[in-house]
Amino acid sequence: MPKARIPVAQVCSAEAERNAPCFWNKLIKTTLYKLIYHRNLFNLKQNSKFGGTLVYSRFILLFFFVFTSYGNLHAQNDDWWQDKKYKDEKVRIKYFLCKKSFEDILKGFNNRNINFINLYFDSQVYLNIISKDRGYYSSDQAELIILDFMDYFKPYAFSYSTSHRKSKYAFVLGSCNYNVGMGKRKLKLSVSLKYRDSKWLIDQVNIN
Amino acid sequence: MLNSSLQKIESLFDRRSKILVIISFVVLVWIVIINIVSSFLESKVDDDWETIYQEKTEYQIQTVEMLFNSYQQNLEKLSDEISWNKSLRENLTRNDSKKIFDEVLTRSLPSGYHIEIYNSRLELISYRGRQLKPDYVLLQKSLKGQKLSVIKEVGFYTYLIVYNPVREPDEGIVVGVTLTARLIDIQYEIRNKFFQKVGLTSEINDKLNAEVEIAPANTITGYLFIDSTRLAENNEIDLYGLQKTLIGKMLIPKFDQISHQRELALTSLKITSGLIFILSIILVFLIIRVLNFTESGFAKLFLFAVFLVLVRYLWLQYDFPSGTIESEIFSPDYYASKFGFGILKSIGELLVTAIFILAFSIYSATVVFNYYDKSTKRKKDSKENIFISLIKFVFVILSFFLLFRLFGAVIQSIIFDSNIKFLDNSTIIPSIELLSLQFILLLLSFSFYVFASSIMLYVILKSNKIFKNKDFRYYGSLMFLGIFLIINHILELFMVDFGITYWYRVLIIILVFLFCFYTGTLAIKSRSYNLLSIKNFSVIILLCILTIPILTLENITSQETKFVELIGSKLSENQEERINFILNSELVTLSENREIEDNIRDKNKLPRLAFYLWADSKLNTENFNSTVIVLDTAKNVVSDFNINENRLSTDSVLQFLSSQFFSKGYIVTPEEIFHNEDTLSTDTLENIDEFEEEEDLLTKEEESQPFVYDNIAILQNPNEKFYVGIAPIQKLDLKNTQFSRVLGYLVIGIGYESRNFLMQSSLEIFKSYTRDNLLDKLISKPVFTEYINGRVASSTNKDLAISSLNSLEIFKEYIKNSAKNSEWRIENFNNEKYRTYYILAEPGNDEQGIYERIYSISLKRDDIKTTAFFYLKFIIFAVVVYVLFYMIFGIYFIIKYKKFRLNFREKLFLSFFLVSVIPIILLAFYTRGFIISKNDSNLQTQIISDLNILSESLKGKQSIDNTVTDPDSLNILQRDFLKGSIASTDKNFNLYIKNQLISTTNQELYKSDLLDTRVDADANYNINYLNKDLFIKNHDQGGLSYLVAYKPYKDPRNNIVGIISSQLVYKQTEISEELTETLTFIFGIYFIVIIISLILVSFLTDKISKPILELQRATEKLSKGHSNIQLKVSSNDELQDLVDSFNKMTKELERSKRELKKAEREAAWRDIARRVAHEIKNPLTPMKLSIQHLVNVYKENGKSEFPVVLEKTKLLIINEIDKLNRIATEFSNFAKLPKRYYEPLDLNEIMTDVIALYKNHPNVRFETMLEDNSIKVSADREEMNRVFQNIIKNSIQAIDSDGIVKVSSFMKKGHLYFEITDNGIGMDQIVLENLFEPNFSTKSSGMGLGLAISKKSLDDMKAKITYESEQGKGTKVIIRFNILKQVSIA
Repeated sequence: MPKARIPVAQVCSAEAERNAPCFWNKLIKTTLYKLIYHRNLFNLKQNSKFGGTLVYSRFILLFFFVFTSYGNLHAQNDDWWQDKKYKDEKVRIKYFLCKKSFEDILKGFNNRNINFINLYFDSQVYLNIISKDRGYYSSDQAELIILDFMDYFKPYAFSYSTSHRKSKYAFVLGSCNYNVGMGKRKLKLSVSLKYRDSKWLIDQVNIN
Repeated sequence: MLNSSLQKIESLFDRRSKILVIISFVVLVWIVIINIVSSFLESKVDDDWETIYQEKTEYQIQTVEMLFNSYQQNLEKLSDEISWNKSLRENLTRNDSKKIFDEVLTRSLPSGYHIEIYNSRLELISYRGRQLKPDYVLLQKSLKGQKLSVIKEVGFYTYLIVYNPVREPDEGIVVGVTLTARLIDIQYEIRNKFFQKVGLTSEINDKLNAEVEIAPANTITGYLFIDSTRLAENNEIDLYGLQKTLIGKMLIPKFDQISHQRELALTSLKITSGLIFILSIILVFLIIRVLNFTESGFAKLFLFAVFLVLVRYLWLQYDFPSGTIESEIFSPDYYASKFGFGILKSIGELLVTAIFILAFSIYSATVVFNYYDKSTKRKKDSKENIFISLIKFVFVILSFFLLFRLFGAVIQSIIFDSNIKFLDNSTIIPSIELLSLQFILLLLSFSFYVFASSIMLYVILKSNKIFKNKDFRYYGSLMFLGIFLIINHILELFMVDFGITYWYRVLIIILVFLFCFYTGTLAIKSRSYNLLSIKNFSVIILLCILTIPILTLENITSQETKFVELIGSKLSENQEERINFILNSELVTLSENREIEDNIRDKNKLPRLAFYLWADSKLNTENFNSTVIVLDTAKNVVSDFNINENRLSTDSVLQFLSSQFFSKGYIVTPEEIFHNEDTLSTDTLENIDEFEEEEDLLTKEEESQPFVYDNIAILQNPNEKFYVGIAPIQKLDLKNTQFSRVLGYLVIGIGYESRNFLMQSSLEIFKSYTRDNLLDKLISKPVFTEYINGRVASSTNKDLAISSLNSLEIFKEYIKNSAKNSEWRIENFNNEKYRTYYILAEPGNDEQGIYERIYSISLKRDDIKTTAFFYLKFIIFAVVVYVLFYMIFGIYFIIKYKKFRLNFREKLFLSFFLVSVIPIILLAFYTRGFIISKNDSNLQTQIISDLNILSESLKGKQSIDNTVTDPDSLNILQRDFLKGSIASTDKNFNLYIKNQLISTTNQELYKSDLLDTRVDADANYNINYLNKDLFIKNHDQGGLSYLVAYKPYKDPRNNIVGIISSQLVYKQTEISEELTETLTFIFGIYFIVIIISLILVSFLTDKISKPILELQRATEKLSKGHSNIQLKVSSNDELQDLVDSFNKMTKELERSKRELKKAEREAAWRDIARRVAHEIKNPLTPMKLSIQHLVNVYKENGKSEFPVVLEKTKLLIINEIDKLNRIATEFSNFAKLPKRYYEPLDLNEIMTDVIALYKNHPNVRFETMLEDNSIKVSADREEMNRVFQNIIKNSIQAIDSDGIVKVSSFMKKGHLYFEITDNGIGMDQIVLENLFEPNFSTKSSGMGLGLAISKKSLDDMKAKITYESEQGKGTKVIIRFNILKQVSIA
């Protein structure tokens, strides 16, 4: 499995295990960690909290992981996109931006970082997540709903399988695995973008 | 000053504070311990995982088995009860189906149970509930006397069924079989979308927090099919039937380590956050104690605010209360805002924030009122730097407007970032989310008013100081009102966005000003400095009721415009790409759905496959007008589902597909779809794609050309306005291998005619458990219209559409000259104003034959009914909250004071209130009942008339083929049978022959398996057995209740052939909305009457009780000694007489008191004169005698005796002069108060000094027991010395010989006690009574003033002296020093 697909939380736990060979050492470390972050390692909420300096340190940690995984993401198989040759430079740039947008969104889901996704939010965003949260949401609300989803469902290994693009509309289909409750489930992901004012904006995010 | 500060600091570290600090420390320790323990447990999980896993799995197995067995036992018990019922056995022997039916239907049965009874020929005799479709093999087995149970899937529903033989009463021969079933599961997707909790699985889910599934074994072969992936992920638990064979398996997800550790962590987090809550509450108490030190109100408020913010973020950091309380209101999908770094991220968090704000506002009000209190009491205000005062003033006024900004922002955020229908007219009791938001709005606006009035009061107070003259005070206050209004205006000119419009702000400022003026005056008048008295509280609530609906409605309206524009842009967007996306993604995802493979083999489930796919896809969630068709390999329909058959039917989709796709030579293979004639393969498509410009692939010329992508093809039908997509269904495991094989085809059609917004209302039943929010954000129902080439193509209100054609022309002119393609217009229709949003979707082009398309969305403008509805709903809510608060407050009062005691005013208020409110409430309930029953009867009349029309129109028809074919796939011919009869109505009808549905106008309800295709048992019994001509029943389906009417369907010879029915299933929402509106209007008005009566009652009680209360207060004063009281009450009744006579009485009293005083004073003078004369006379006589004696001696007896006599006389005279001097001193001591210097004194020390003076007395022995304590009492040293001396001296004087004086001191209940006991002669009652009277003495020498003076000194110190004495035994003196109040004496 490529490194990029390992969720940050798991990397953290692996790191912690390596650094804590002795039981007492480990106990002290986890206790301290919990007292500071009040979370156990498996339950680390990356971006769900907004206040406090601790959050910023998490951001720094997160960006560190994002940047280390950046190269891997690019090296990742992008069969889903199927590059085509366009004669017109404008059209080429337009579809390049489209691909970039989809990649960013994928990065956001894979690293559980909403900041990659909310770049593409319109003032009203259509979400359909696990059929529960369905409809148009303000960008603030949409952001928090996706964060909540990431918190609860612990998704990992998002990937696109196929995509389609048109002059003003593009979409990708993909899948993701997530842990919930006692077991694992597989979800289907589809994201569609619309082209407006020289920008690709999210039209819909469906995770079901 | 220093002393008092020191004492304050001392009081901070009193016992209570110490306890609080200790508790908080203990809580902190607990937090650490819990974290360590949970970390320990988590790290132990790694080592002990195997044992934990086994334990957990065993627990799972035990729980499942226990629950399943209890289900089965209950069912068996019920089944036995029915089967062994004597009358059933008799009736079954006689084959009397009517009686059996009667018995089955009258039996009380909880929901979820189903019964079927078969006779010995295995004919269905009687039933209740849904059809169970039993297996004949099992029925026959049971007929042979076997009792057995099975798990069976019927459609989407899984039942546990018990087959039980019924025997003849005597011979024991089996005469029939009973089937008793209980619903234990509904297929996953359907359960989650259309039902709330149901059956065994949801019970297990709740208990084990895991999604479990039931896999039933084949009822005949016992074969159990579970695919390998499910087996790998799940633990399987065997379920055994009554016959002790395997009847199914429960699949439960395997327990994994990460989840277990997460659970542990969550538990520890829950406890930690709870402890953090306790800690913060303790800290609140401590901080308030600490804050009492600061004199400055600004500092107090600032520190308290900082503290609250810290606590708020601490809670947020530790997920309190969202981590501790599991509730929907903490999920962001109802409301969430990023504002405030997470303190508004859900309704729950917002509620907590609102409570914090409320706490702060109340604290600020207390601080301001304290300031008010102090500044009115203090005559001279400490001089403040004018610069600082000015800064304070500016700061305060700015904070007032900042408050406005914040308040507006929060209201905006609540409206814009929430997903809740504020104008919910579906039910009178709002959902918990809306209720919470309304409550939050109430809290916030309450805090806002408290804040705003605190600020305003501060300003008015300052103004009062500037304008010393009373007349000017009013003008001063008014001037500041003016300043506020001017600043408001200036800010408006600078375009500052407040979230509240200008005039509403003006209104609020004036309201706040009036309230402050009223409160301020009241506070000064009645000297009660409490902003939150119950009266003020009520006034603020009234202000909230007045303003909240306006503010929210205003925001909703402005939001509505935004949303209409959004809907407009959605309408005008090129639909093609979007539908392509939906079709494409759904074809891909659905054709890979594993359920297809499972279902396509199962004949039982096959008919519902299409519905299942529809429900599982976006077609359901996005409310598309769509159809899903599953074809077999021979391209025959095996399953289909249309959400709205009238708009998009299976036939038209298939016809189009066969004519434009299959017949044109396209071939669908597992890998791809290609054109047989090789004219346009996928390669060519790719080539075109390479040069793709802004132009679309699909243009009008190529409309019949399908768009092909891998193995998906999409076609557009521009005539009937739909898209259709096709994809092959494959065996998933063999996909992309050489063995891949097509099992069938999946066809999806999506209509785009008039868009989906136009048809939403017909989908209610299918989306009763989902939330679609775009239309919910509008307050009134919009009218959608589509114009093509200037004509009305479709509309939800055709009359309105036609009347706005003129407006349309103007809009067309407008867009010709403008760059915009949309415009808001206002138009009149039926004397009502409409705001209409026009949007050009497609400009026409005559040359290319493209039609011009314009959409319009109209909303009623200034809809008074809507506003009134909104207002009334809020009023109902606010009044309920107010009454609840009142009740809680009352209960708190009773608990606190441990008795239920009301004063006169309260009693009067309560009785008035009850007298006025009880009839209103009774009337309201009566009206409610009346309206509901009236509504029901109206609906019944309507449904009956519908049925009559149908039966009339059916009379002329040929009797239809009464053989029931397959009830699951309704035969097309029979389906059209009813349509032909009632072509143009929108009513819903069903026709049942032999109890099975054979024709319906609403296929989707039956194809989806949501409703049963067998006629309801009650209807069957009433019509076929009781021969009733009409039967009406209220059905309940997945929480949705609707009315159904049944009528027999007769042939020309008047024989009952079948049953026709009509149902209000689609109209249920409209009906409930109508009912809610009516009830809201009635209740709202009743509640307004309650508010008005509250105000009136309050006014009346005040008026009536005022003179009485004043009389009471006056009498109290009178009893305290004030006699100069004159009441001014103006009323023309008996009370006036009472007040007059009271005034007269006080006058009389005053006069007689004056006279008495005069007489007393004269008597005292006389007495003193006499006594002084007597006392002076006493020494004068001996003096006179001695001097006479001296003179005589000098004259007569010669000089030898004279020196001796002179010496004697000198001594005597000096003695007597001393006596005189003493008398004079004592009198003067009594008359004047010596100057006192109070200081903190150790009284024990003084007492010890006094005792030392008398220690050497020959007859008296002292015993001292002074408690060693450092308690100091503020007193004058000299005075205390004198008091103690006096008492000790008295004690000594009372002793003849061998006396003991015991002196002791001790602390008791916050007082310092001194006890001086002697064993002297004691005193009698008369002496005791007059002990402290001046001039009373039992001794020959002395003035009797000593004790009187001591008493006076002690009284001034608020200390208390008491004597206990018994003649001959001794006396005990007790002095109690009041140390608590000692401070204030200084």
